[in-house]
Amino acid sequence: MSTRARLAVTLFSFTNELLAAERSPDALLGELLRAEPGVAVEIDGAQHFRSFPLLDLDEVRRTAGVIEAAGERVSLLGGGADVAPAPGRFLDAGEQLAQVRSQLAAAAILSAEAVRIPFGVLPWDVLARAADDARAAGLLLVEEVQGPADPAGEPIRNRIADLERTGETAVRLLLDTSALMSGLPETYVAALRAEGVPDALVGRLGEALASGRVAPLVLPALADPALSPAARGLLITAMTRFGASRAASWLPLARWIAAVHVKWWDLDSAAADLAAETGAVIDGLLASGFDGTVCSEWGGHEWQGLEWQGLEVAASRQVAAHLDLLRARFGQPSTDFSTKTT
Amino acid sequence: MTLTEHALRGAVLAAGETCRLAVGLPWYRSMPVSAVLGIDLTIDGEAVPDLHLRLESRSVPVDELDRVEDLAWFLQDRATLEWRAPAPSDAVADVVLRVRLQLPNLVVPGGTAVQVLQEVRGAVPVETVPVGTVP
Repeated sequence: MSTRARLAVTLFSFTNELLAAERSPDALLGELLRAEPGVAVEIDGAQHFRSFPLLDLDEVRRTAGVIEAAGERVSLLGGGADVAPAPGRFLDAGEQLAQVRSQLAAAAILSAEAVRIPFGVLPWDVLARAADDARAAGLLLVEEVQGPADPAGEPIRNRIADLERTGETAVRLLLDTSALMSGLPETYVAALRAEGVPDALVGRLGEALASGRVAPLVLPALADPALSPAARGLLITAMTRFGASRAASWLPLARWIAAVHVKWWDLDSAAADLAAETGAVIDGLLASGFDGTVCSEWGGHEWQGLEWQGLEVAASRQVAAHLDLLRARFGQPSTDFSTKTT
Repeated sequence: MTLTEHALRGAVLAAGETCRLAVGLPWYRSMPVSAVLGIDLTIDGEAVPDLHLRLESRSVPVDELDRVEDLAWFLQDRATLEWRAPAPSDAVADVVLRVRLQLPNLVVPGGTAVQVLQEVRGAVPVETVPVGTVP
């Protein structure tokens, strides 16, 4: 049984740098691999590859060359089917499967461990057929649960029932710790205030997060014509990406959780989260034999941007500091994170 | 600069017989063009009619984007908005860009795709292009 966390970092943390387009995705990947030796990298297919979602394997091989040249490794490939590409258009099962199969083939070329997909989008029959390919390739398909996801709710209970009924070994969950936040991040609150969101609403939002009732607060608030579009976007973020469930409610699902995203928004809230439920859930998973990757994922770029309150914000420095927090929290020297220990 | 502000990063409005403005995709992932449900552009408070989006040498009326099945907007690429009038007369134009997107990978129970409306505002420098030239 492993008690060591294997660290990873996702290129999603570099979204603003990707959008700035001063460096290609592969150039950013190479920089990250050199900056964080021994830490696996997660690649988001929809950000990295022009051919997404039906991946061109020659394009993927070029990226694999960057990884091989650095002597490093990929943890997960972010993917999934673009099931609704246009109004009124919904991919049939064969089209969904073709996209996911191309992503599994890409993951194999990248020597990744798994393909990450959004939770609950693929119907079980498609997921089960994709799992046949995953199993044959020695890969996992991990469905990401995050933010307001309820570990005791019907969608997750149904998925666990699917896994128990079929004995499927190639489908598991990825737990994103945005489901276990200890409160609203300070930078997020500052962004709300900068967009003119009333203090009273900000205060109620903090209470709603703690009680798991963000949507009933935010949905009527969005109707306020005085809210700026940016304020609406921030409130929708709280509704769709924030959650404050307890570690104890996730740990009964430990055997189904194969990977973790340590979602963080700013370094202060990251430290607070690690001292609370986020740290507790990772401790509990490790104690129960979890040997997947623990991946640093910065989501605060959504409101902090490349500049924040007049200061340059480089994801590379933020990510390095967060990895240091993870190493300090789990007491492992960085060189111990590079290989699977089970 | 956030993922919405990025859309007008370094933008310059080329004003001439045809006006042009290169914009970035205000989202964090690449999108099928068919998932761009609408683009509205306001210049100095005036809505721009008959707007086209040029991407990879193809110019498509913005109200027909959802019918384009073979084109994707990669998140690092800039697309060019094109229109005949109004052309701004000042050196700097107040630009409001609204882009409505259908998120192709996210559906709610029942199969409805999630939509988002992204709005970007900026003071954009104007360069006047002489008649008969293409910027």
